[in-house]
Amino acid sequence: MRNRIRSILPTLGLAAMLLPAGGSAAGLDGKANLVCAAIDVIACANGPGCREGSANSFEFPQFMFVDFKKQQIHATDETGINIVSPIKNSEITEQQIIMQGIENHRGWIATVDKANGNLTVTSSGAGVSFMVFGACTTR
Amino acid sequence: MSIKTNMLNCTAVALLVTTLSLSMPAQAGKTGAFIGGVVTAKVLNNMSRRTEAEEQQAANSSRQAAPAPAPAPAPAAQTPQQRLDQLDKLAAGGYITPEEYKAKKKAIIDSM
Repeated sequence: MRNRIRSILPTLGLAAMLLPAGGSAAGLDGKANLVCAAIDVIACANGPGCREGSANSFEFPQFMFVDFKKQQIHATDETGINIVSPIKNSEITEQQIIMQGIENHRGWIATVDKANGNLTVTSSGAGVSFMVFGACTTR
Repeated sequence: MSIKTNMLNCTAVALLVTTLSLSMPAQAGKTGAFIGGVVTAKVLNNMSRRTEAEEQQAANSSRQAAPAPAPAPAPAAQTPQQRLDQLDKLAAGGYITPEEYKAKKKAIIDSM
């Protein structure tokens, strides 16, 4: 547990630096593009059961970017390839920015809390489901 | 869950990883799929790796936890009276000669 906390501290630090001073998440209005850091992952498969760990232990890209103009979420993988998820639908409520997409017969939903930038991504399909928790701020 | 079932699940997860990895470049050209592609493949890879590691660990611990053969119970110490009774039975049964009986009886009495 101590190792896990130690491993996410740099990510949390970076996320904290990226967040506006005062800890507010001003600007999270669904118009300004976002940069997000994945922190924790919980994954479940029909059979082996569930696993949880840091995004780092799952070898996730450290940062992902939300481009509202292009309607996509993108990142760069370890080989330098640009990886993209098109946003099929999005909705901005009073409290959240909600985005949905479909890829490889899987559905996903990403939600960003406007008040604090908390990020929750869920994806499911073919007997495997996972959740990613993280933080976002405006770019 | 049995090891056989776990191995089947492992294989299914590994197959999904391969399918996803192969499908990504074909679908997206120069770019890859993000959440439904690379991220999902990494989740499946991680789960597959951990399942294999858990199988290995379970196999190791079951080997370690296998009970060692119980040592033969030490014969309970007999009193001289019990030894003499046993000696009488052996003599009565004709298992020992009268000479052996006398020698053994003397030894038991001397050990008191």
